Amino acid sequence: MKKVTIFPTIAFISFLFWELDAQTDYPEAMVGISHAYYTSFDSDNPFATKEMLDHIRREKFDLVLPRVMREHQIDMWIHVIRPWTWSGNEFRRLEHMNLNYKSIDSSDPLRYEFGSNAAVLVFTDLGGDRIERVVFEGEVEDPSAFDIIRGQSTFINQENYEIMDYVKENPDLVPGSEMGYRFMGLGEFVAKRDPKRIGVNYAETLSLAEGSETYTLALTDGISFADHLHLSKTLGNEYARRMVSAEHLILDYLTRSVLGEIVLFGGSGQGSEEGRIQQYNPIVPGVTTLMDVDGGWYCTREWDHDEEAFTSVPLQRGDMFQSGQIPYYILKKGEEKPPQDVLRFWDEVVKVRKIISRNVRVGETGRKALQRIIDKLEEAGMAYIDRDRFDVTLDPEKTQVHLDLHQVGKGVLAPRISPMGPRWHSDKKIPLLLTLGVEYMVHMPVPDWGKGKHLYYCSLHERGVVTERGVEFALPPVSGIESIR
Amino acid sequence: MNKVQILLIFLSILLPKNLHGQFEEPKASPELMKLIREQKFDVILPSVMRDNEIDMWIHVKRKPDFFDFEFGDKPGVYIFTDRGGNRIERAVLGGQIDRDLYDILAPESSLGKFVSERNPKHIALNYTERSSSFKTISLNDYKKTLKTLGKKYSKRVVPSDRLAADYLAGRVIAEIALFGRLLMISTEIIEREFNKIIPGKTRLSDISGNVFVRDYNGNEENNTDYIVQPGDLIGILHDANMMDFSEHNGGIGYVLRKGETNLPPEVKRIWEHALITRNIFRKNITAGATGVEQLEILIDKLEEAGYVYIDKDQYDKTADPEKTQVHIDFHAMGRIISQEEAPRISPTGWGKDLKIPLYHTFTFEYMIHMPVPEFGKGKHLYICIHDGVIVTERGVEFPAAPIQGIRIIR
Repeated sequence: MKKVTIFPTIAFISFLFWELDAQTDYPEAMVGISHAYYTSFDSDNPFATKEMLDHIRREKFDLVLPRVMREHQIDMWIHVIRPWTWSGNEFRRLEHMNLNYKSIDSSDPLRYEFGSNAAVLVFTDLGGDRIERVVFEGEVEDPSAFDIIRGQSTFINQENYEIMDYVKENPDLVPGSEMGYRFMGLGEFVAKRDPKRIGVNYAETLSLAEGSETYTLALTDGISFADHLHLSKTLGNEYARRMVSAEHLILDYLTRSVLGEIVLFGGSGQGSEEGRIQQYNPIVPGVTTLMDVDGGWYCTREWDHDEEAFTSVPLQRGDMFQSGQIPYYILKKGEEKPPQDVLRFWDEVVKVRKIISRNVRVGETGRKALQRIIDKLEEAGMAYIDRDRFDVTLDPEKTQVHLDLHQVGKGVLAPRISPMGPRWHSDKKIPLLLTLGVEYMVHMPVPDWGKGKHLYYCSLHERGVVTERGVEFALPPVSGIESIR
Repeated sequence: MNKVQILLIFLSILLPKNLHGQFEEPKASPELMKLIREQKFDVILPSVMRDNEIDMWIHVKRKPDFFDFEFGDKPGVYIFTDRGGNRIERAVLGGQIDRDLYDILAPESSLGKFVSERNPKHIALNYTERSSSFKTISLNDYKKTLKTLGKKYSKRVVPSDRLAADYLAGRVIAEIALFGRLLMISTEIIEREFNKIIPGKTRLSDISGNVFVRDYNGNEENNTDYIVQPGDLIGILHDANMMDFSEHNGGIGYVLRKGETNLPPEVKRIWEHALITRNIFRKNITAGATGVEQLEILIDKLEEAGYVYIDKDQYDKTADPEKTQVHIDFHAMGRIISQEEAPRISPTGWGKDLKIPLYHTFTFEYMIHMPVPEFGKGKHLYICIHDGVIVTERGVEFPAAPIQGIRIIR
């Protein structure tokens, strides 16, 4: 083949591969969102588009914002996102990736909700059924979602000539320190609206930073001391005294879903187990290990099971293991389906799922829901365990269940139906349409196999949504145990 | 350049269109269907049976029918009995069933005994005395069933149409998520169809979907060979489906005239009316009222806002020529046997007397006829909005972005 023919051929083949690959990996709506808002803005979800993110933002402004502000009796919410939350290093890492300035990741927990990584946002309840939305300073991804956009401050970068011009033209208005440029004009803006309680994004009682999902989207302490100081000065005594922490408002705003978020929580659409089931190369009993098959853990366990130790132990016929959400059983010779004990185990898993789905109520705290589920599990003859470890001291006839249901995909983990986490996780009330990671761990003893031997399954974030009718599922939970011959 | 090179480059150009098409209509995977069926049995069935004061629902099914989506496609006599508690007993007599979904499988010959053992007070059966798509039982089966039930129980039999309509209208979360995805799919298809239009060349019949243009006198061209002209306001409605779960959605385009670079003032004005009326509808719809009750509320609110409500989608020449006229047909979408036999906020259809359920999936379909006196007496502009919506505890929500504006066609 001549060079001139080879080139388009290679180009075509490369393009074909790139295109085929692109079918399962879509551009993010905003940088980093697929990681932070996992289960909704997943990179393999074609519906998780920028248009959908914009739509959700507007729906939340319309439907959620007035409610949460009024519930917390806050008539002005000032949210400050500073550009240094993403730093110059981050900028340099991303600058050749053909992204625009605004899309660069930030560490502010509301960066996707507001579509900004650098802004001073002011939401004011002026009465009526909506909240005034103002970008007092800075840039946003979706300007039409806001009522007023004042643009970026001329003085955000003090290395330019504008500040020299300003000083020359306004000698009487020059602030004592250049920090005074930071909230310039905000005092008048606030006084004109005369709010009674001003929520500001700083933590006061909630350990948001260490109590959130630090590996996906850590919530932060909020504004710096310097920002608090200068914001107070700008507002003046009268209004500075009205400042309160917006910590609960922020939590509630993040965890209340609109239907657009539920649509994304339903995944890419097929809901098929086919896509989730691993297609294994033949497993050679006694040779293939859990690590070889990308397995998560053994489900057939001794009482003192040590997960780490088992990753390189060869799988045997009659073993059960879990990979992702799916449990697999390796059939013994002559078996057509898993044995009775294994099938009974799955019935127990389904029973637990049903008990959970019927016993979570909108408006209750996570703690109350936890107690109700524990009561119902015990009524159904099961034992609750507050750690995910088989308890050999309990009735060997009883299935043991550990619970850790929590909000997913916003880094918050609250409301949480679990013995784990800071108190505020389970103090938080369950809102309507909460996207709930239904996570429970079932340990069923099998006395016939020997003392302490048991089967284990962890549901790993089944996609539940809490409605007035209980927990419903946006995506099918796993339907059974897959047999491997 | 040789033929191979030309072919490869040509294919490279074509590829993005084929592979970048983001959305595909979802397939009804067995797991998703099972989830929807199970959740509907769990959360919708008890409430609709109790609302309709029915304690046994018998659905005789000999061949695939409209309830395949809810019950499964196997023939049999499906019986749902309210025996108290938080669930409804689910039985199939004389059929094959999914053991995870149904509690009882028994021979059809046990029907009489099965019913008498449960002693229901009101039995709904899939027949109607009026002409209806809900009448899915044959005359022979109807007679046979009544005979088997005997005098005592056959007297307790009532048509199941209202119950069935309420059951179809009830939505579980998996269906809500599905509805949103389908809306996004149809929106994308509509975009694609608009992109095909070449003014002066494209005929309405070249465009997929329900495509229409009305002139200033209200004369409509609908999917005809009419060629798109500058100054036209074109509406396209298009559907997207998963099995028998379907919706359709709408878009509007304006063809610029020579010298125009943006929408003319009157077109901007009619769009403003679309937004104002959307807000009126959004704020004034709640679950629980019937369609006809809800319509009355909306008419009052429209009139308070200075609009004229018209009960037909035709410009009313006798109405105040200063006022914009609005027609409403908020019909159900998703699982409907027909638009007429589902909850409907509209002046027409049997379904207008049904209650709007919580999480009702329907359309904001409204038509705006805006007089343009500067064009002459009786002359007006017409647009039809068709956005998918759901009523929640908070009011009306858009599960996917509604129409964002009138797109410009150059």
